[in-house]
Amino acid sequence: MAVTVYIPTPFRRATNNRDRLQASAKSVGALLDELEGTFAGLKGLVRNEGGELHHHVNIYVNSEAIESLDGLSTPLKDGDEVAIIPALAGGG
Amino acid sequence: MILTAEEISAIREHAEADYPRECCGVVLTNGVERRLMRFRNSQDEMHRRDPAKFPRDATRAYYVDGADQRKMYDLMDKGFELSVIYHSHPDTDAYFSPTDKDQAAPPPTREPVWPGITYVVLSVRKGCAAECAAFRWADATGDFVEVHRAPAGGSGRV
Repeated sequence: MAVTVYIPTPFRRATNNRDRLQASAKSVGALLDELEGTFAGLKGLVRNEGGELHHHVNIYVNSEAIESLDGLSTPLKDGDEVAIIPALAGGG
Repeated sequence: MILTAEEISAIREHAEADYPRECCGVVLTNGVERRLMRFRNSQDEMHRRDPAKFPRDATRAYYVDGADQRKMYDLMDKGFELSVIYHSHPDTDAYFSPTDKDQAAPPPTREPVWPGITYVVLSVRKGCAAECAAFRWADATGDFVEVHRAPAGGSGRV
């Protein structure tokens, strides 16, 4: 089973500058475990020490935010595309 | 140069059109060509969906959804680099707020997400662009510093 993971520019310093990765995990949480096992630098960038997603990071499965799906338990299937995107947000 | 005259005019129009909500967008360049992308502020949707996590509505915050961001990243994968992120502050000053800093250099590391770019903030008062200011990350201080401030030359519409 293969899932493609899109890594945007701000996170590529943690993936040896690779913009797309392949993974075989069956859920988003397991996918992060798999990626962090390969690219240790992703660990603090995407999740906190408690394993929770940082507030400023969003994950999309086939362009749908995992908050609208099943969070880190969202299942993955062959051919899915996952994107790990830092939030673009702010305010006065 | 941070923005061209045309870009300043486009951002001013965007900010006044979206008033009293915050507007947001980016400018990208590949060294030859510049592209301004106006984003939709989806903060109201986020606020309605999860008011505990997103306590502010779009009059006091902006949030770019993933689909809009992917358009930006698609352009970046074609050789464009992010140059400016802009947003407006309705009925308040043009400053880089604690919320802006938290998003631009998130805790706990406080490393800037986009270290080389300029953040432009435009204040809009009673629907009229009032003042704009620009901020950049400074390694020396480990914080954002103001690099430019000027009247925004609004339309005069109130």
